[in-house]
Amino acid sequence: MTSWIRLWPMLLIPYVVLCVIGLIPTLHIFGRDVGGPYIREWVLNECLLPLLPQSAAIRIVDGFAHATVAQEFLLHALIMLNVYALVFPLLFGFGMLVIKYSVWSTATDLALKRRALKQ
Amino acid sequence: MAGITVIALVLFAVAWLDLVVASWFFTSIGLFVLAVVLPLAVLLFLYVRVRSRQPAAVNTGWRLGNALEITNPDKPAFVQNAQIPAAILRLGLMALGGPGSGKTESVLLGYLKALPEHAPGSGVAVFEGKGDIDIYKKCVAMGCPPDHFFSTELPGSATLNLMQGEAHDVLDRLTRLLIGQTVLTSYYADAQRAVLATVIPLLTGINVSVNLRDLYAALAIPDAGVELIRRARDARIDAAVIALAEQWYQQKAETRIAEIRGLLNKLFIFCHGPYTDRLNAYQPDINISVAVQTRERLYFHLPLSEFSRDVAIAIIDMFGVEARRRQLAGAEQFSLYPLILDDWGGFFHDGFGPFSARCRSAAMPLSFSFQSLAQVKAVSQTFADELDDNLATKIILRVQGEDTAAFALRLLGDYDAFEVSTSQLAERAGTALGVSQRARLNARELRELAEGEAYVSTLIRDGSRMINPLWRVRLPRPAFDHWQAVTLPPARSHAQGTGLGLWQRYIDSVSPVLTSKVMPAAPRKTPNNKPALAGGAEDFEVIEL
Repeated sequence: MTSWIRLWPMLLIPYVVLCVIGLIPTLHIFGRDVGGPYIREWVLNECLLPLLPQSAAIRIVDGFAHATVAQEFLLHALIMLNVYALVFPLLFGFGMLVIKYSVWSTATDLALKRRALKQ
Repeated sequence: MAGITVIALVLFAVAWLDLVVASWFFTSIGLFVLAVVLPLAVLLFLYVRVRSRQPAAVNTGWRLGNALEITNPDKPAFVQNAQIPAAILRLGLMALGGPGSGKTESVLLGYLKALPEHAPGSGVAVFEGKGDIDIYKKCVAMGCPPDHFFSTELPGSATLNLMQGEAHDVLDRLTRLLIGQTVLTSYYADAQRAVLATVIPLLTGINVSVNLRDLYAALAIPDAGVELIRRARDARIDAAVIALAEQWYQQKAETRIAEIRGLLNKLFIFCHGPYTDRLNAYQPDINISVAVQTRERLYFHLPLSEFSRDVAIAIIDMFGVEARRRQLAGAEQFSLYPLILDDWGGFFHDGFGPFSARCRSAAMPLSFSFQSLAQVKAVSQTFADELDDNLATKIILRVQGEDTAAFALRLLGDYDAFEVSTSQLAERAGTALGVSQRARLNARELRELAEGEAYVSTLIRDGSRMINPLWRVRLPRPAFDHWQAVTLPPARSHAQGTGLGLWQRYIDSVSPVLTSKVMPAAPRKTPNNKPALAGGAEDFEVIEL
């Protein structure tokens, strides 16, 4: 039978992946710089700033401009945590379905065997 | 539901973290306050919600206090303020426990004490089959004194009239009480029943109070029979009934008496003796029909003996008559009138099964306790099964005997026990799940219960479905301090009152000495071989006691 003991990595791994994206070093590919601060900057621009009032957005941008790599990453992790929170219900629901199916199949199998033995 | 809770918790945690970080980054007091207040508000909301969920369905009932629910013994759960719902108490309850297990003090007295809570304004009849006077005293000491106290032996008893009621009810009662059944032939039983069916309508139809002594005199003394027929004519009783009675009285006295000798012998027990005045009051203190209608509290003290057993059967039958009346009139319009039968094992009789079924559907639920399964089986195995089927609440206290313990365990039922076994063999490692049915308890657990501790199986409505919880509980014992200071009802004379008076005129008046020494016998023949219609005392032989 499947249980959350087996499935908990399924919940954690997506968040780890989202965070690790922010740690990819800057690479020069086909004449373009990708990864590193560009990804963190893109996440900031697309996921956080459109949701904030302009004054708050300006203070965030100012802070981001003077931030260290670690501070940038912490902000990235926080934004990704919010993104992950939106996905979490889907992941959790999927895990529940897997567990319910596993329990149902085991219980049905057991019930059928018991019934067969009683006959 | 658990899934939604987890998702809500995760979303809340993320939002709270956002708030904390934002309050730090923007150095905003408002956001900081919000970050502090929000979790507190959520905790308060959860607390209020959990509190509002506590005992939802059960509003009134018999409160048993805190309990351990062991419906699934592998997952015991604490239950705060367990109570048997009032609606379920209307279906009756059964308590099974050995001597000293707390049947009387915890179950009988506890139920009585709780009665005003779950059935306010109801009357009650308590039948106490053990004979301990301290139970009556404890009833009084805890504030539940009965309106009438009846005892088959104690001198302070109230009075009854076992002849009270409609003719057909009295006939049924006396048939059950006086006529023995044999498996060989029913000839005598049928003949005796026919005699009762002839004479009882005359007695009950003349609009004068009658008692069992009048019946005895009418059956045994020819002159009393003649007077009865004359009064029946005056009262314009159905001519056919009178004609039948005349026909019977015209038989040879010897034949007549021989036919009903067994009946007279049994009837004599209720007419003559130190405790029979209280059964033959023309204007009795206790009128069962009135008592039930006016919701009186009655206490019947019936220390087990052959005599009290017979009296108990008669009283039970009178309650059965009242139950039938309520049934026919529609029981829902009547208030509850519980009958509590304590230590009733020795009093179960053949007609008890139908009686209990009738009472239950007439809002007169039976709640009884007994010590041993053998006492129930003595009635019949069918009755033992009926107990299981019909009583919604079972209270099992400490029981000793193997047979009784097995019965109790069967009542408490089985549960599905899940077994998970894991093997870690090299190539056959795996987990196996198994299910087996096991008894919820074992006999040792029943034997080791302390006084007042019990397992309670009852029903509780949960929305549209019923659930059957099993609780282990220490039944609350009501306070009856200083019960030793309570006195029994004072001794009194049991006056017969005003009524037909056949016994006084035809038996007592012959000789006061005779009344203490008469025994029924076949009437002597007159010289012309006719029954001694003119005589009274001639129909008895004097025996030296």
